[in-house]
Amino acid sequence: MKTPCHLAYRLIATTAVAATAVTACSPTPARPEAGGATPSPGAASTPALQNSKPAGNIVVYTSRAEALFKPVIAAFNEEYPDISVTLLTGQATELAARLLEERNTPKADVYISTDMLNMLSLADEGVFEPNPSPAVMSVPAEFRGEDASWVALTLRLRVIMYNTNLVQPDELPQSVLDLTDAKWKGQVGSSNSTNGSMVAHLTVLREQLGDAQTEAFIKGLVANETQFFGGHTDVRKAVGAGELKLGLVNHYYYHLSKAEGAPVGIVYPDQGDGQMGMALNTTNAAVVKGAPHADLARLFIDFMLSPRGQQVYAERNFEYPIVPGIPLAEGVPARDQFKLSTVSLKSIYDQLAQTKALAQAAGLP
Amino acid sequence: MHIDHPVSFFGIRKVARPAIDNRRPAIAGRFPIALMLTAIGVSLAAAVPLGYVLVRASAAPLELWGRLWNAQAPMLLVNTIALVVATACCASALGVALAWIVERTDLPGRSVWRWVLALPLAIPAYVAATCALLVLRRGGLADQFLSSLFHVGPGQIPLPSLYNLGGATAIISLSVFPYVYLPVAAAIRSMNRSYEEAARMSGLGAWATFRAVTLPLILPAVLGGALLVSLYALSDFGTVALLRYPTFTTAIYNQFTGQIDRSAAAILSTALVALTLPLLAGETWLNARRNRAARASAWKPHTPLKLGRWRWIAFAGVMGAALLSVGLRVLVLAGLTAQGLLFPTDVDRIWSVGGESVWQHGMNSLLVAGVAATLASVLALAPTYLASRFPHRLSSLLLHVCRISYALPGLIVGLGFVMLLSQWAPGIYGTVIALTLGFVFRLLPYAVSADHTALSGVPPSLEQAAHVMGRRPLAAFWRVTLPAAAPGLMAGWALAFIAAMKELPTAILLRPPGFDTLAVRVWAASSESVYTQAAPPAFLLVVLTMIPLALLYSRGSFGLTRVLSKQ
Repeated sequence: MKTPCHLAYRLIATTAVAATAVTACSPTPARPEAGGATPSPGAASTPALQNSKPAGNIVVYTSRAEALFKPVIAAFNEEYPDISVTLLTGQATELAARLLEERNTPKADVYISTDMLNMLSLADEGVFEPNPSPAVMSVPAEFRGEDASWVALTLRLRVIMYNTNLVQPDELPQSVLDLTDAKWKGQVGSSNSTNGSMVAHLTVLREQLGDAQTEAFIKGLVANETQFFGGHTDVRKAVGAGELKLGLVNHYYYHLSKAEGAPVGIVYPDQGDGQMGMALNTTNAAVVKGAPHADLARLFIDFMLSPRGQQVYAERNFEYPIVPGIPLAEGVPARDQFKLSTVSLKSIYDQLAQTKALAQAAGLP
Repeated sequence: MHIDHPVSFFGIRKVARPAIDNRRPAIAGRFPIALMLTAIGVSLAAAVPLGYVLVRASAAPLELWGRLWNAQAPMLLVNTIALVVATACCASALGVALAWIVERTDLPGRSVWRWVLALPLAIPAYVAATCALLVLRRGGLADQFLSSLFHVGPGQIPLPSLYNLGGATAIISLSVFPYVYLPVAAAIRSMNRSYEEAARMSGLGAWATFRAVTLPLILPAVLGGALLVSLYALSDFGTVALLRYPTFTTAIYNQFTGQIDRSAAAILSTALVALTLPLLAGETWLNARRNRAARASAWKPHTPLKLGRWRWIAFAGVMGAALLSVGLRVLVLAGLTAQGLLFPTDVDRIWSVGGESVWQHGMNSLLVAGVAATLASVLALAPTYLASRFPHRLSSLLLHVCRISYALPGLIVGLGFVMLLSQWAPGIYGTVIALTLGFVFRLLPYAVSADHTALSGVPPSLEQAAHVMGRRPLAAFWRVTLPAAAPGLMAGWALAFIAAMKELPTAILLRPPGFDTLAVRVWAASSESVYTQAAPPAFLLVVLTMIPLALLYSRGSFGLTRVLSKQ
């Protein structure tokens, strides 16, 4: 019995369609926080945690690629072998829509997003349960919700990666805006409008360049026969294999390809005088309001913020840990040496809808 | 092979078969109200997802329509139509050529080929695309093998790109040509040989005979098959998504996953529905022509054409088609599955963390496909029994309504269910029940088609006899009609089951957490290019699908050919 859905087997097999079976997939043996009261920071008072070995199942909705998230689960299970983690992966907005649609009958315990704007809009909708645990509160205030309803886990930079066999260092683009240059026609890979990191990046560009220039940039990408993918894993594989020369990705995708031995290089774009600096984003976690296993969910988030959890993100995924003092993976330069975009993500989350409308109008797939 | 499944042709009489007159009420007396209400209920339910999508689209702001239309629609329209036309042409050419060679010539191993050439239907096109990418992608198997063979650096071997119309057409055509091959082969088998003999006697060669006599006779079967291929190409999602060839289905999916509001996806869906309408009209027209066609008598089996020195060339051609469409794909999947098991890499180990085994996903697939196929077959009995026993404008209308979503891409059925359930039944949304319900209505058209064929094949006189003997209508149906129609009903069930096993878009949209099907696992792994992890579920999926397909096809008279030929 690994997941609660297995209960559905017997039910469905015997009574094909029965309204009662609705509960089969969301068994809620004990809702710790009845009445929706804000739980005390020391969540250890809840029944499941009074045992020395917490056990159960948590459902995690995440827009992270499975391969990038499963090492965290593996490390979590080393510490908590009796808590199984069931994953539902999808695109950030797809899962956001699902969380909103399920708000009266929540099935997820934890949501882990790859984009702060998405997180901020969901928090605004009141989908998350505040979780002011000591681990969450020790994260710098700019990287968590004011009511502690969400917390960032890692930081990432928007970069350009290239295939070193196909591109000479002297011809490399120096700005993301150079990707619309006709000399890269059909040679650039990017994620599409379904990807949270991409939409957030476009929102930052709108803030820095204005709508007209951002729309021109998107149209330029489309006209340049840019190859659009749902996620960045496929972009980095295509660049690594030499199907494409350049890819617009988050920085760690370069490191992941490099670690696999692919002939890839990295450009930290927009670093020159008068240029806009690199866009920054976060991955984030939150406990879903009304989560069937909120206590275990908080435990999981605390683990991801613990030195062990942060280490996994840093070492396996080459990301920047949100908790200070965790060493970076080899080859990852400290981020304070870069010129970063000055746009505060927290101030522009209400711009998400406009960015999507702009992307639709500009024909971003 | 025993033949009692005539495909009828324009104006040709053939094959004696118990004539069943379905045009007048077969069972005298009362119009069964309960049956009719059930049939209406089933038909309405079948149309609800589509209706809901259309309603949501019409409620969307005009400004959004304009934005999507200007920025995306022209390109999507061109791409989608190009794919449909190219696929229909390629699959038809391939299907007709194979059918003619296998059925008409002294090709070595004909009885084996007949069977093998139906097997591509067991391999979903997105699995085929995964295999093709694995082999032909830069850095893939072919690249590695050839560059080590010729001692050249990476990227030096010229490889055909799959990321375009050509790649999508080739992969989809090789997956769905049996839709043409099977009915055309059946048509050729059941064709009266005297026509061709007459042509040959008046001095025409083999090719001229084919063009002047055979082709016109098999044309309805070809057109019917080409329509099925076109409908498939319109609805395909997994293949074009993996090949990054933008069509309406991928655009709908992008709007679905990229927007909180479902309006944009609904708007693009209406365009896709509009594209399917001419195809549906074509199918209706074709069916009407077939029904008007008379049946022939004095049928005689053919003597195979002697190919002479062409014999082995034809053999190589058929072998090539079978290898490309079945052999190589299965081999690649098996090899990669073995590689992942025997020499797991770091990625393989990470992917299996905390996940369920491929057997669990197989169980999930079997369970949901089995339950959904059964429910769909049972539900389909009401409108089809009504239509076959009480022909009336209403009953044929209900039948048509049930079959509407035949042409509807699974993506739209899934989208309709997502919007409907999240709004009106949030308790069911995101559970196994929702997934099963979505599948049932996705499968209903298949079941309606098959059930109608099966029930129409049972002479009403049998039921009338039971009535005369004093049986109540329900008892007569249970004791007489069902057993007599059972083989056809079973075939329909198997067809629905196979479709459910392969179904991807409905499963992606409605999957509950922790209940992934094999199709979803293949999709998840191959859309992240983790092919070693896509192979085991794909391999298991193909094996589990091939078993019922083989059983179905070997049951000749009530088998696949008959369902596809839809007399």
